[in-house]
Amino acid sequence: MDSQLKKGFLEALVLALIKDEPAYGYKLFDEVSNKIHIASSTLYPILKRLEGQNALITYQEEYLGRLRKYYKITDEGKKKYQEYRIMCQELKELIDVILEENK
Amino acid sequence: MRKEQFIEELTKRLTFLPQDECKEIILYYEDLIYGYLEDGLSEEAAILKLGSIEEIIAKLSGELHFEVKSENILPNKQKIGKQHHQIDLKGINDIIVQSKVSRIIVNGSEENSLEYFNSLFLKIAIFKENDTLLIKHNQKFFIFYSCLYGLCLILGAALALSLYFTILNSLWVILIGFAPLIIVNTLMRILNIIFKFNQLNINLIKNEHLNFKLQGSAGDIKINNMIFNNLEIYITSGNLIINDTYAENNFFKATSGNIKINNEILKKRSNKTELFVKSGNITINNFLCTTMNLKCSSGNYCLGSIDCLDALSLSVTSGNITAQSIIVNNLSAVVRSGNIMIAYLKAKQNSNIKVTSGNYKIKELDCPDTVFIVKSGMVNITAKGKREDYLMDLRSTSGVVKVMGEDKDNPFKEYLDTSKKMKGYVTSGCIFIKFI
Repeated sequence: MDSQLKKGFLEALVLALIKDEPAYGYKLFDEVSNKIHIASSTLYPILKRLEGQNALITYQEEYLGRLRKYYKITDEGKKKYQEYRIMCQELKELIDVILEENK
Repeated sequence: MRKEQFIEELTKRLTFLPQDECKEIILYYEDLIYGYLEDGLSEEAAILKLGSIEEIIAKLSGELHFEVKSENILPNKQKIGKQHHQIDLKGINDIIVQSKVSRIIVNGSEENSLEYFNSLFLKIAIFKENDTLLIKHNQKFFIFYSCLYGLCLILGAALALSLYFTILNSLWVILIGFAPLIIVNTLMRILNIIFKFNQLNINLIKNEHLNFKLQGSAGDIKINNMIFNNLEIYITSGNLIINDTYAENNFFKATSGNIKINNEILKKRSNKTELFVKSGNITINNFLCTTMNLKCSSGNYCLGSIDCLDALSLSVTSGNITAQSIIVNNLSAVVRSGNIMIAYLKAKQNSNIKVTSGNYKIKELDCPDTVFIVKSGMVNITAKGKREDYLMDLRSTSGVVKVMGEDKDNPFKEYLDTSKKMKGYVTSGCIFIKFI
């Protein structure tokens, strides 16, 4: 599938992945790149942007003697995630129609 | 590459970012590497998965907008009046100038310095971060002028009213009400001309490795006699005038205002030039470049002599293109509404012209492969060579196609070696082709 189209959903995907529990960089990247093929340098600006929009906060925790950065969703982020959900729902209806026609 | 090596290299390349930002990115990448290692990958394989450092840098520098955060170099308290401040450009590769209302003049000179008028309504600051120098010159003149003119209007109204109820019982007093505004405005203008309140002069030594970026909101920008590596100019309202300035890569963007480029003495070929104008004219004279991309929404092009080694692309939504001499490899021009008039066009490979409504006229055309599509308008071309040299496919839906010098009786016509091609479609209008 057109990766450009999928990339439009990166922000939503990141929010969906951290909505229940905070995630650290590698885990997040691994899960995202399982769904959408992206370069490591693509994710960072998105995390940064979400942080700038107060959709997530970061904190550092020690893990095996080194610092690990965690990304945690905020209330603002949850609101944003709900907006994305509604948008995706609408899209889904549209996609269903398209798929139905192709049968 | 090993992990330490990768991190070291990346840190070195990220120096253009503020330190905090740089640390965060390094932490992010370290985390990714550790993650891969925990998944059983070798260090080399993990680093391969991250992509090349070049890619990472290109992506990050394009996506992250950073602001230089450092101390102002200029002294806090300065005398009011004319200022001359020398700047040290040792180790500086990038200069960024931001201004709101000032007129900026960049001059090639023997020293690196700034000249400006220091007043209560001025804020100038210089920040230095790694190899970047940021000059901010923001005049509070806008607030000052708004208050001043507002006061003048109130004063004028009071004057007019008092006159109306005492001496002059006529509506003409309204005109007198504007008197204070006009007087003060004229006075301010004269003072501005004398003292150059809102002018920032930047004198720089010519430097081929210097990247210069200028962001101006209102006020003209003038660049004289300079040499840069990259020259990037964004201007909102105000004219941009460039004289005898060379930059390997040029990028100019103007919202409303004209752009004038004239390189009369300096004959140096730029690599890439991009120019975007929303509303305003583009005047370019004596310009050498490899590739050029010019875009204009509403305004005219007035081109003197342009020499492009590779491609020249011109596009205008409403406005004319007038050119004296264009020498280019490939020319592509798109005009929505307006005319194209070119005195001399030499396209070594091909020329591709599209006009929606307007005429297309070339006085002397020298091109082996010409294509033009005109929706409504006349086409008048005088081409170099003879009729027989050209393989022609000219069509007009409603109009006449007239090719001068056509030799109908030539029995060998079909066998002639026609190396040049000319293809043209006109929907409503005529085509006239002449040969010299």
